[in-house]
Amino acid sequence: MGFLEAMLAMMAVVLALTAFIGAAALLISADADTDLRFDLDKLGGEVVGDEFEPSYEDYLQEYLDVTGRVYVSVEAEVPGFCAKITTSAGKDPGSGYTTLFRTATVSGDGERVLPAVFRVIAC
Amino acid sequence: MLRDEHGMTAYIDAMAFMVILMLALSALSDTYGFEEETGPNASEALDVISSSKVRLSDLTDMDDDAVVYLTDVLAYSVHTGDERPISYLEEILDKHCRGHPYSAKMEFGEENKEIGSGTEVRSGASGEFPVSSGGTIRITLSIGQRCPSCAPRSCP
Repeated sequence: MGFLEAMLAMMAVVLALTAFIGAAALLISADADTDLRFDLDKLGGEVVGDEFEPSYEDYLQEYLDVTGRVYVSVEAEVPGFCAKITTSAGKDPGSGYTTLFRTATVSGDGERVLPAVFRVIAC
Repeated sequence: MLRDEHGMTAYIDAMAFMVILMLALSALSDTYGFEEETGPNASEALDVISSSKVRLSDLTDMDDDAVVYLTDVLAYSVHTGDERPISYLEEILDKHCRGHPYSAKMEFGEENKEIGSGTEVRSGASGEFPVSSGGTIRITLSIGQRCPSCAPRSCP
């Protein structure tokens, strides 16, 4: 009888613990939702002369419409060829930013293929 | 005997509880706790470097607008000691690594060139790329962990 009681007690503990761990995990995952769901493959453009012309300007507004976020900004820099440019959409709330980075290639004059570094900020 | 049975039951109960608690806590911390910052990836940088193309006149003293792979120009730099392609590579890696220490080693034949500071590797990649003038260049890129006092920029 003692052993059976212990088994029942253990089962009760396991159930209570599982419920606690599950609740804690749900709370943590809700707070840690930093997935921007930004399609980094949309980041591209072309270097014309000494200026970078981005190809994702329309996508930024589309991104806000789809995700419900209020602001997105992309800084693009082509080292050695262009100064940094910033393209944004929405209204900057001033806080609560999440950042993504991407290094990719963009096309340039005369069949060049140049490295570019992008920084995406959204909130 | 009766006391021993009760004691053994309590002991097994306590042991089972501790094992389950340890498993649950380790699963929780593994899933949600102490995740490393998603930092710069060496493979991404190496892919970009190996697929980039520039004009010879962009990075060398040659008056030639032929478009070649960046790896060709780096091989030329390792062979001749011309620092301009190396400076360009450093500029790219500085932007990509955003404060994380890095080291890049280029081996072309018997010659080699290393840039950056030696570091404990957090992300590493290596590749061998053909050079249009013959042979191959091996590039090994290692990116380390940013120092704890250098907080990552997460807002404008």
